Amino acid sequence: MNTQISHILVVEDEQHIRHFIRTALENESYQVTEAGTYHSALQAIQNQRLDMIILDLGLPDGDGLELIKHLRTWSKLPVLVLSARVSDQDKIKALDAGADDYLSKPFSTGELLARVRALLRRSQFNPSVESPLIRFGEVEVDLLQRKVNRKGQAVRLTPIEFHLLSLLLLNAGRVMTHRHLLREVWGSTYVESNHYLRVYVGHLRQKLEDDPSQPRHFLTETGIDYRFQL
Amino acid sequence: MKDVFPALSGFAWLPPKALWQRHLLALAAVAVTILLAMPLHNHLDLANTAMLFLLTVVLVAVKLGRRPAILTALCSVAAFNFFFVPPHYSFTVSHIQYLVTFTVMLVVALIITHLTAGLRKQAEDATSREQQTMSLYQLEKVAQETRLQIASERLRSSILSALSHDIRTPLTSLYSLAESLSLLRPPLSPQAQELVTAIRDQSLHLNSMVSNLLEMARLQAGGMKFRKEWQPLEEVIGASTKLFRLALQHHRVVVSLPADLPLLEFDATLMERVFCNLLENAAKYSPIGSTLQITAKLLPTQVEICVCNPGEGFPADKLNQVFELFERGNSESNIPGVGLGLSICRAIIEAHDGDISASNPTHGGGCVCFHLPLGIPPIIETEPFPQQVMAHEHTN
Repeated sequence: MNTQISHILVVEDEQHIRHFIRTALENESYQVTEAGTYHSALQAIQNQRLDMIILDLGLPDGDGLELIKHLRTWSKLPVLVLSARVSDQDKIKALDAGADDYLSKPFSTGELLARVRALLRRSQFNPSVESPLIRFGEVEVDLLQRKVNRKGQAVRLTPIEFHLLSLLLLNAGRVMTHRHLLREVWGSTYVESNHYLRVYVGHLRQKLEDDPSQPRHFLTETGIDYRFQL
Repeated sequence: MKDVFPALSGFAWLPPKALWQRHLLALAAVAVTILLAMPLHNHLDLANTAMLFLLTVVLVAVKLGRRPAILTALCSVAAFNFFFVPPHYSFTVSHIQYLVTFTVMLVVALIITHLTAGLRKQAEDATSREQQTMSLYQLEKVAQETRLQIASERLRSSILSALSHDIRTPLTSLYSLAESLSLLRPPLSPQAQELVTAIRDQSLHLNSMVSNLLEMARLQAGGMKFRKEWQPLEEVIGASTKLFRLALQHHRVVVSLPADLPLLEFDATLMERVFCNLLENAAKYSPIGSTLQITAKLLPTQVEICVCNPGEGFPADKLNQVFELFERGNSESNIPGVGLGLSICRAIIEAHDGDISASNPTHGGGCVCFHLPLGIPPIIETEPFPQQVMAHEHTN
């Protein structure tokens, strides 16, 4: 694990929310820089060494989406979007522009810190040292041997189910849009076939969750994406 | 502009006729002129008789068209010669000057024919242009109305989205401030922490009410786009219970769905709103620690989905009214709410061609059940298990 203190830029025009995020992050010993406008955010991005950006889309002097697009032309810095907008389309647009995750307002300290940890872990992730064995709940997955056990019993997965499972496991904690998963597992001709994905995620829940109708690991953000949680 | 010769509109009753009929009518017109001119002939100058024939040519040209008019001109000259120019009842001409009369008469008749026919053509063109303009105008009017409608829908949706943003921002601040209080060092006393938790929970509750209000506004404004897709019911139930875990922390939710439940076609975000509202309602009106039930049953053409709670149930006389806007089961109740949740459920279910009703089962508690049509879900090919995984399992 990286011992250096992570430096996080918080871009949010609403002062109370910015202050709350700062307090929550500093309590966890992160270094925090605040920006209340598009321009000060741009300056901070260009002049400081950052590990992550928490970004509100609606800024007084610019569109957060543009900031993400601009950033993505030269940087892979993780971006967590804060959204007060209700429409799914806005979240999808932000993810398509290159955001790594989003959080709908209002959100709790717990939710915020969990997302931040997942994104930072992800950006420092080094696959060669990670073990191919992944455990969650009572399930054990061996990505190398392609074996899955639940409560000590072997679970039969089809090749597509296994492919989908390993993709979700390797991106644990991150949002995975329908389009992305469909393209990775079924190929680009299937990117609109959401029902395939839903049926196969349903299979994984049936086989690996204790209560498939109230899953704890294979989570759905309705209309947008899936998120695997260890 | 309908008739360039309003004085002659008495002829307008003549329906359009075939060419041979118009020629026949032209001959009849010449005959009538002859019959009219005969008794007058002794009192009239020959030149004036010729005028009568020219008048006939004009009328025929106006009403019957160019070729019947040419026929009329030729026949008129012949009839004039035969009946009226001495010697009578003979084509022979007594005086050479009558040849000039015939020639001038024929030329004048032909020129009139030509001019009148041209005028007639122009009138017809004008009418058809007018009709074209009319239909273009109608088309433009429809297009204009559509543009206006789209613009007003866009305006309405941007107002709603701005409203949503403006209301949510202070709510988020409120929530964040409550959360910030919990993060203070040294930590708050247990009593203060309890108050902070109450502030936080109430702001969340307010947030869900605002969401409901905006959703209702959106549904009632019409023109809302639905994203209906085929999907498992199980998934939207799971997403709803996760979204609502805070409000459901004092209740257990048991979901029992038939194993062979097919995919259903619905808008996931709206259906999530239905389940959230039904669960919120069920949790509000049932004792803490009790179990809420979500069940589904396959019917021949529909699926019946019920959300039940073990509380007191609905007031028996208000089972149908609870879905009305701003109607509450018990208006004096100290349980917070404005009576929006169930009416939104009904609006959403009806938009999915379903129906929704409330009931109090005989074994107690209250249930809200709704029906969704089954339809024909898309086919998903089944995928075979690979050989080695099967073998692996046998060796275990």
